[in-house]
Amino acid sequence: MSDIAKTLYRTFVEEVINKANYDLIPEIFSEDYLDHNAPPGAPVGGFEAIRAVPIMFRGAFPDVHFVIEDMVNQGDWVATRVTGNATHIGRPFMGIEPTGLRVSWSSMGFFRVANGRIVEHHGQPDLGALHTQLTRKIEPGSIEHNRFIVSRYVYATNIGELDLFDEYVDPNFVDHNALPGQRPGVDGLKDAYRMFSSAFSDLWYTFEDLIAEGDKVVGRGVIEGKHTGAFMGIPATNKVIRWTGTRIFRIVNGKVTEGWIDLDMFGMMMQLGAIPIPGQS
Amino acid sequence: MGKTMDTQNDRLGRAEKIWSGEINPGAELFEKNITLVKRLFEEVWNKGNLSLVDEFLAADFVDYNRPPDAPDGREGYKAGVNMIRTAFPDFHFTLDQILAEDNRVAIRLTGSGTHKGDFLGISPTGKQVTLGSMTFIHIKNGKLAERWGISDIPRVIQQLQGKG
Repeated sequence: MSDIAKTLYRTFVEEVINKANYDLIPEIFSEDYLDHNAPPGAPVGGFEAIRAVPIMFRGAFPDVHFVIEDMVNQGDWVATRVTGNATHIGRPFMGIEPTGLRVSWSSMGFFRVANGRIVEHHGQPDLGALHTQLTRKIEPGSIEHNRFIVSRYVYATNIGELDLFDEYVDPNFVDHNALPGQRPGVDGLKDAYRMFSSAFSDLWYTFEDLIAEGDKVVGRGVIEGKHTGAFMGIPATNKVIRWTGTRIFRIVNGKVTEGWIDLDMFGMMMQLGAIPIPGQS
Repeated sequence: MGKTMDTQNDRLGRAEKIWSGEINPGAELFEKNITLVKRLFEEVWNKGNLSLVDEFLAADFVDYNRPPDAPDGREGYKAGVNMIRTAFPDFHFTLDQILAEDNRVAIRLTGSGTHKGDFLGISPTGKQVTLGSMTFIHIKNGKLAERWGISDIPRVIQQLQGKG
């Protein structure tokens, strides 16, 4: 029994949490799994509910990585102690909008295994430590502050609050990858954003990495949206499209002054059916 | 001579029982460790018997989750118990679950108490609070050598501020 409990938990951490391999959930958990400490508002019952918790967590911390520190097994139960490391570059967490901060916290749990599946769980994440770290004071002008500015700016685009651009973007913003005819400055940036958001509903850019050095911040991420309006002459397909985008920002005095963006337009156009997929006819 | 033979026979008998699975030597050690941890919570936390801390904790005891700025070692542990028992004089931990393997023990607890003294800057409210907690302990030479723990302090604060 001891190996089964530890192996199941290890697979859960290394595959489901660290690699977002949600398809493995039915091989790890029983369908009637009971979480005694499910987060408030989490769905209850079935594999969908089990998936919802890591999905919610990765939504806020897309690069989350757990390290197993200790496991104590006796009978059907295994107690686990992990350290989580992550960057808050996704959705709000505990009511805090994305901060771009790197955080590290502990989490403990007791899991019961029956018939080769996890059936029950009591959890104790150190939410106090997480909250303290996410609300810590950020020194203006620091690299952390640059990451904060970029995280909040991109979050503003995600929720479609273009008025917030003025708080994070310099009025004379220089777009090094401006669209043909794009107006200069922050106004042009808003136009470019609107071109995408009018064609794709629920448009969301998720950073998967955010790296800062000097006055620059580099982000690698994925954009997802449903193609519900015409885009560059392509009528709505109502397909959910995912494409990657790498971005570089320059920050001066707490404002984004320059930006470079490289979007996988080729992959996007293939998904929209506007160009053929090589090797397929 | 006869006594030596008896001891040897005892040992052989014991070895046979271990081989057959009748005795699990690990389980005996685990029972000892479990008893140690249960006594620690009963005596120190529930009865406030701080003089026993030195008996339960190794001289070089390390607490990896002590409050910021708190001293480490036995003195830090005593200060932690004191802080809780000053704020909640009737504080009591119920052991919900305890697991042991090798030199390690994991515990799931529920604490409860009445708020009669200052707690993290909150003046006494007279409210009854409950506190979920988990602790991992490493035991060396019959004493606690290392400790990791998480307690749901934010939930306690919520309860004291009337939002719980």
